Amino acid sequence: MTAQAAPPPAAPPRAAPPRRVSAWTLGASAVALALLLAVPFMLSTVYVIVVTGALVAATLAVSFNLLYGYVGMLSFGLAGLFGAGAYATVLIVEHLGLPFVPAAFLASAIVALFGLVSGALLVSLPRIAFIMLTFVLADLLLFATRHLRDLTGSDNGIVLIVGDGLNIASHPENVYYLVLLLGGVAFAFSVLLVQSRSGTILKAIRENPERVASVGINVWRYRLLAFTASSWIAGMAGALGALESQLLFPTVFDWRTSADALIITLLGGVGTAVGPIIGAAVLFGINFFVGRETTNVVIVNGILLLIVVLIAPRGVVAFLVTSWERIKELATRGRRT
Amino acid sequence: MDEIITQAFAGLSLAALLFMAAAGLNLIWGVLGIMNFATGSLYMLGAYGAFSVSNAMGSSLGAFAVAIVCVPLAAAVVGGLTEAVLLRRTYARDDESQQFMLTLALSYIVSGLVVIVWGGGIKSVSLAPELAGSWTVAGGTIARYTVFVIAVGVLISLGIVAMLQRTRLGLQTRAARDDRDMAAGLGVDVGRVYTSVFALGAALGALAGVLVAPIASITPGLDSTILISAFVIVVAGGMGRMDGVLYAALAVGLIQSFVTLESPVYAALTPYVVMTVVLVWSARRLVRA
Repeated sequence: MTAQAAPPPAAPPRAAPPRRVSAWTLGASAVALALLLAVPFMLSTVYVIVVTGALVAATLAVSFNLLYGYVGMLSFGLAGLFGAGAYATVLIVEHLGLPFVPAAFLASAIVALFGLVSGALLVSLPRIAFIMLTFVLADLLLFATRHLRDLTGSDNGIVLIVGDGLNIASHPENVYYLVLLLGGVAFAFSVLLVQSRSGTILKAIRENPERVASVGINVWRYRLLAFTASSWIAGMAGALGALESQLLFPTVFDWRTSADALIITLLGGVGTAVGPIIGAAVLFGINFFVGRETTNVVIVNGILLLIVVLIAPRGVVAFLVTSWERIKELATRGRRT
Repeated sequence: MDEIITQAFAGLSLAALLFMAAAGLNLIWGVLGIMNFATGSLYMLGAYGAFSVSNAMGSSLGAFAVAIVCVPLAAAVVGGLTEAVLLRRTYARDDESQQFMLTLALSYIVSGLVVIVWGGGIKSVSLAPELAGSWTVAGGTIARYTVFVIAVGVLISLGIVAMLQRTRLGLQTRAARDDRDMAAGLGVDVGRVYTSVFALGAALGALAGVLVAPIASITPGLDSTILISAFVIVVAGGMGRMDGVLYAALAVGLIQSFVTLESPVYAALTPYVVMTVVLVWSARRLVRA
């Protein structure tokens, strides 16, 4: 989100430097991956389930970040796509008898198709109208789920039928690794899309859509591409959410699911690849410790979001980096005089 | 006939409530270009405020009058402060989503605070005896309170029109809405206009909450219930147009009230149907033009 005013001194250049994978990035990624793979060996069952939840939330934040961070479109309807992916997975497993993984891919493809069709109408709306209508669309899906009682079980919930190997209670580590794998696939897809030629055009649309249109590029088509891709990721996150909870209620469609993806992305850093992952780690970490003291987690998340929007709109990581650079600059200046 | 009268009054009073909540949202959206996600929170605070007043002063007509006046005033102060202290910092960023996220954060904080202050249980406000009961007109029963809500709604909508069309602040508000920079160039204190409009919008949301308090169960989830309806009405009303919001609120209120007789499920669908019809209609008009 470079449209936000950068801190006045030392405004970072808008254009990203040419991408070169540094040894640093490679090393950090390797360490992070090793840590993630080691989670079931290091932590007890309860914590493994918490981290699984964080991975699901991070996947949904990847979807949010792809659209808001790289194209500048704030969708507040991710809860709808997440819920649709979750319910579609459960229903496909139940009625078509597919195993979980093919069901997850089929369900997320259906969600992507839904995104393609609804996106065709939504993506050229002005910013606020886009927020409002994605929000309303998600609520409409919540409504439909509540009232299609025979299909969805309404407020009684619906159970994901999986083999014993994927039972969250008896084999949380299997669930964890599968969520890590499929979430990783969605993450890699988002990174590849952003770094592709289309990704460059998407970032250009974020900065100045009129300018992009003026060179003869169909802005609508690229926005629709991003919306469909983001819908696919949200659908996959929903499938993973179904696997993690194994019991679904219409409340997965609640707008707070969308808001959590937003908070996670902002905490970690809008428009950065690792932002959603760092954000999920930070938010789940804070919520875990706060949750021990109080049940009123919502107020803490509200204060976090307030602080981030006011002080560090580019995310915690960017904020720390700029603050560090400023301190270094002050220190060197102090030494010179 | 009797049923028609009953449902018409119920529908009109629902429309009045929806109009007040949506008008607050719409005013802020139209003038400041901010989508105030905390609209539902103000509505919820209004209802809890009415509960606290009736808790302290009993359920007399006088106590309810105090709630109707004081709670929206308090909301106006909070709203004005919010605009002046928090929202103002984000205007320089060229991205309307920033203000949306800020109000989203506020709605989280309010829903947390409500649980701390009033607890998580269900609260209720009993009607003042003067407002309880009903009249029978041509065989239909009309609850007195629906007439009261309709009267307040009519007064408020007239008040908004008078404010916008007849007062100096209204003139400045319209000027700031149409062309912010030009208004500022001509000496209008745009900052003051923004604060006033946000305060007024907050007061309208809280007033709707006060009025719904005696006929709703007051819980920490009250904010979500009004939010969607208010948004849908603003979208259907043409986003920023006050007359459109009035028509949309009337359409949703009346249709919902009559459809409830047939099926409550379809009644809950009303806002979406109205919005879709309007959107399709306006899209067709745009295509033709």
